[in-house]
Amino acid sequence: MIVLQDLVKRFADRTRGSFLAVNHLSIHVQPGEIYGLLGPNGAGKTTTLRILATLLEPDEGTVTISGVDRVASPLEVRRHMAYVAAEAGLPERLTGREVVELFAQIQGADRPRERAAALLDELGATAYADTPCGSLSTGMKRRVVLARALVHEPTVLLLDEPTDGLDVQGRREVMELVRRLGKGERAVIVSSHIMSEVQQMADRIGVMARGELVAEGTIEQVMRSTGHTNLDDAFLALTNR
Amino acid sequence: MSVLRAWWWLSVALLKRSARDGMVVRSLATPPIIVFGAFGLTLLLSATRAVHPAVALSPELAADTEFVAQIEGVEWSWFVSKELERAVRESDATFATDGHTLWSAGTDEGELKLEGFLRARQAEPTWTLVMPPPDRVSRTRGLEQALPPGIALLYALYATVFGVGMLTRDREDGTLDAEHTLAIPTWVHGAARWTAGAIGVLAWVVLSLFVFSTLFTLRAPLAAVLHESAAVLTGLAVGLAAASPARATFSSALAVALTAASGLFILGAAVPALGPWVPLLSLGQQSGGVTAFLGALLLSVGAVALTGRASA
Repeated sequence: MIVLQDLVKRFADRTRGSFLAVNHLSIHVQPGEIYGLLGPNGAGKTTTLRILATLLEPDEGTVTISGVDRVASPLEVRRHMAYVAAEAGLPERLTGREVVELFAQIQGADRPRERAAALLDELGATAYADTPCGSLSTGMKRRVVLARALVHEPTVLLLDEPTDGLDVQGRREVMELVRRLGKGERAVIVSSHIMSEVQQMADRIGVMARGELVAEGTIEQVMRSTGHTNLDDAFLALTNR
Repeated sequence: MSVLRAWWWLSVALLKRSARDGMVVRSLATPPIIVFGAFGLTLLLSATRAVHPAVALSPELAADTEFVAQIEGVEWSWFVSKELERAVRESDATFATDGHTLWSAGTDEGELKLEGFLRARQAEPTWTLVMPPPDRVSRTRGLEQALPPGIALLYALYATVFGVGMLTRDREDGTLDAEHTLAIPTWVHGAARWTAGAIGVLAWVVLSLFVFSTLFTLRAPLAAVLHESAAVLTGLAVGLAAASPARATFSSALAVALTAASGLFILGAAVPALGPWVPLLSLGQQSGGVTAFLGALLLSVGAVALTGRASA
């Protein structure tokens, strides 16, 4: 469903010069699987997701989503995929309902108004659907953003730090939502730098550090490979190498 | 079809967002409000002046005490002038007469009244040659020539700011990223911003020109609309193009865009031969405006292509 093979992305800036943000990364995610992409800040998680979301071009390697080459057919890839960035990306003067309807109209959904209402209802956002996005809390925005991402029923869902900025209750709700969204045939990649969170959402994890995949497997497999019994210790052991 | 549908819905959403932004609406509404205010003030002044017209009289006529008494009897003021037509043309007098010819910039009612005094003075049926109102253009030509380009420049600079703002703001808060994951070509996002900006600003430009034309003589209105629209579209294109590099921030792009837009205008003003047909350079110059408008559309296509290439 999602296949990254030897993915490379280089950036250049004044302080670091040219550096590898993603270094020969290979990941396979199956339909119906929730894959947790873990790593400290700057590990290359967001860059990887942005390449998958067709927002950045890879320098080397191949990426296919639902069998479609991401570089050759970015529009076709976007028809199968939804990306939810860490920033909400909601126009503050439109209401949640207007934003979701707009995306439904553009994605060519049948009866976009009804589709938007149904999604907002499903995600528990109906109560504030007619409030301008600028007045919503972070948790409320996250639900609206998820509704917006799901209007075209994507088979691949990319979530970049979906619990970022949320309180305990909000984090729990979003994690439950992610588990729900991962049921069925949808492949989900969710990035985070908090191991305990990913443990509750993901079927399998990949740990990134300095642009490389340093460990991959189930949580138990990854912990066993480090020799630690504590999640945070295992994470630190992998990322501080 | 899906591209056109996306273009349409994105443009509508952007217009809706702008209409709900108090700062945007206030900035766009200010110029017509100022022009309307000036119009109202002018009407007030005109009404005040119409009550007591001033009459310029030739020295011979001013010596006729009976005639002068008639003028004073209707509470009109009068003064002696040797250049009667000029007195009316320069608005020193509403009417001027030497007894045979009546120069008028006043109402029909005033003309008839003064004509009656003149006929009574002749004591026999006679024709008075009534000269039509002097061409107001001569008095207000400077203002009439300077104001429309001035208003257009203001709106072109607004359009530049909007072009920069629409792209950088949406990039900074992640809205543009969200849009770029839609299954539509990336140029559509720039095109929608161009469309929304063009509709939003041009509506106010046309309104301002309409208000202006009710107050002054707008020579070649179609050319004025074309030149001013070309300036606004070019301003918008410059703004979008300056903001299109992925690393451009609002302030860095704005500095580049405003320098480019105002620089073009200044270049056109300093070297008029350079640009009767080039948008923005052409403001205030005499030409049909079609070529400038087409040039603006061409620049807009270039700017939209740039946003599609580099916005994500």
